[in-house]
Amino acid sequence: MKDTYSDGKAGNDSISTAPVLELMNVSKEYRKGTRRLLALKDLSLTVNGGEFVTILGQSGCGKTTLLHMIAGLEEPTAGEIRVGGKPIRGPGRDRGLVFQEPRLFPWATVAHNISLGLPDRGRDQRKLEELLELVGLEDFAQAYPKELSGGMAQRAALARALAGSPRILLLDEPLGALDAVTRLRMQVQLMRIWQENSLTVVAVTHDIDEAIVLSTRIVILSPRPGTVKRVIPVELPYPRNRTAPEFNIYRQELLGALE
Amino acid sequence: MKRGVRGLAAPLLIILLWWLGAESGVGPGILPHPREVLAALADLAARGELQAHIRISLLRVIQGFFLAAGLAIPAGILAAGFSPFAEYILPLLGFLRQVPPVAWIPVLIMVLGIGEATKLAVIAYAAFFPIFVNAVLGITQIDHHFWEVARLLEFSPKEYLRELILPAAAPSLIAGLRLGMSNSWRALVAAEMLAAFSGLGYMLMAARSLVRMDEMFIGIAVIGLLGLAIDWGWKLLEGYVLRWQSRE
Repeated sequence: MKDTYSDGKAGNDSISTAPVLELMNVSKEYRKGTRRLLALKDLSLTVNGGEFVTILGQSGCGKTTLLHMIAGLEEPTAGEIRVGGKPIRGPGRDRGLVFQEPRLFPWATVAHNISLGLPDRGRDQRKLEELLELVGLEDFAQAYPKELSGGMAQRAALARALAGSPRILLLDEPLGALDAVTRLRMQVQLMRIWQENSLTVVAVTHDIDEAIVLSTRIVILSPRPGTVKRVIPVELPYPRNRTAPEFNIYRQELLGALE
Repeated sequence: MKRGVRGLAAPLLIILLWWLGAESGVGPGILPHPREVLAALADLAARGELQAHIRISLLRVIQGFFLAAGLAIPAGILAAGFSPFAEYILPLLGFLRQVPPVAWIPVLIMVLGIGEATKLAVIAYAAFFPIFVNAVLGITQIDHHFWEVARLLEFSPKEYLRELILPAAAPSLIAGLRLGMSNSWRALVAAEMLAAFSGLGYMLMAARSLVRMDEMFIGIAVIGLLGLAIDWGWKLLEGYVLRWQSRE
């Protein structure tokens, strides 16, 4: 496969070989009373700077748990997570997370919500305006989350996650709840933001097409306990054409790997 | 607006029936004629007596209410965030909740005398529980998803309070404050009836000892109307603070 598409150019020029994120034998076990549930087992993965890595797996394979652990919201039971070579301790500005739902504070305006992601909490208005522009919400700065459509709310959440200028952007199915058209448009915007800001992205999804459209690499997790089953580099040039025969080959390979 | 106008129907009907009854001579000596009540009102107002009672009553309620809010909100935040605190304090508060504010008046008179301290304590006591209980409820019901966001954005303790806890609990906090204010207004009147030489409650008791039915009617009307006005004030504040809930 690799040979067929080796002419495929990576979308992000700043891909480097230095690992930005390292997961080393990470396991996560939940305990409820006497019951134990192993969500992730011995998961190892290295993500280089500028990559767009998508983690694909069936629901319940611990994808969200994995992302929350990288974000620092949860701790692994065993193993270590390193960012830029250093083990992480809780949340930090070097990582920005977009949840499955927008999770904007309903009592705050869009501008205020985004400013809470900024290190200076929006004292410097210019940075805030830049972010609003980046996600196309300039005209909705003073709107409340209730007044936004699903796509707009998710864009505001994306701006909040980007506000801390993270090295790694973590996306937990942020497009999952959107309608098909909005979803396609958001994918294009996400691509642009990733490429223009030399970000490293780790996304989680169960949507095969979305994974192929966006990713430089796709990591397939096995069902519970989640562990890396296969890693598939996507060597197609950006922007990717869903109707191309090459696209279909990836589609079939991923479908097969997921079974 | 329409609803407001409809709400006037019942009070107007009662006044009309009262007036007709007084004109046809029902219960002379017991029920004063509305004309007499109006005359007494003009008299009380002209002497500045009514205004003085209103001023002192409002001052007491505001002081007692702020004292209660200043204690109940921090206590609520502690109880909500720090479960051992709640475990220590909740049974006691559950007991105290069952004791009406008026029941404390004799005790407080023994301890604090019949000065301002007694009234302040009764008013604050009456307002404390709704404010405290609603603060605890409001905070414990904050969606845990929002706490995760706050952790992710590395909020400082001050930011937790200002950006998350207070605004998220605001609907419940305001409901508690509103209820607390209404409770303290009622407790105030009781306290003034039993232990005061000024205020609307005292005015009622003084009218009783002078058998001034007209002044008693004025007292009741003023207490009710002021309480209603305060509650409207709360509604306006609620609408403003919670404007994010209603915008479409």
